Amino acid sequence: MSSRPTWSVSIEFPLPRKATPFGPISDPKIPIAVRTLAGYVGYRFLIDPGADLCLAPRALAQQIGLDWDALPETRVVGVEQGGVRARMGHLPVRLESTELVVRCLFVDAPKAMFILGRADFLDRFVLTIDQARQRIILTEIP
Amino acid sequence: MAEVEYAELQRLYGGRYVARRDGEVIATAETYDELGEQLHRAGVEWTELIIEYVEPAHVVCVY
Repeated sequence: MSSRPTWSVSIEFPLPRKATPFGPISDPKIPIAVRTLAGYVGYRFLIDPGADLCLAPRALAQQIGLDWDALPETRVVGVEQGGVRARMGHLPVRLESTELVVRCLFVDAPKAMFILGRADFLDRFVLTIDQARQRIILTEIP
Repeated sequence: MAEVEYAELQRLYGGRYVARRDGEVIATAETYDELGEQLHRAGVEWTELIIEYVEPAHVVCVY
């Protein structure tokens, strides 16, 4: 028999809605505490199962104490295909009582988003978007 | 953390980075760098904040 625990911890959040030109649409953003040099700071990140990795603005890399010049460089490509410059680092976050360190692309662009992608984050949870109850539910995979 | 009335944030601050403390918006800026500079100048305690980018209501986001 496996000694791995079979129970799971679920964390629930309200499912906000946002205005768009085509009417209200659900907006699965959740509060995440990021461990910065100044302490834990709250950010609202979009849960995006289509994103390979987590994303955040470049300045956040410096706020968590990363040396920008030492981070490996890459490009992030979205729907516009042009791509923006980014560097890969590790982002220490807290989701209620769960502490995680996730790989994150720190984007060097004026309008960089706060996004939670699959690698190191969504791969660790079962994600439920419950429209009927207007809830986002993350269940940690044991 | 307080539940967000996001449509209201969009109406007032769509396209901007916003910092809130106890639900109240205390700073907004076009970029995250500018928001950080504002908060630094104001001597705000960052650990009391919720920071986010507020999407404009007139666009569709597909990231």
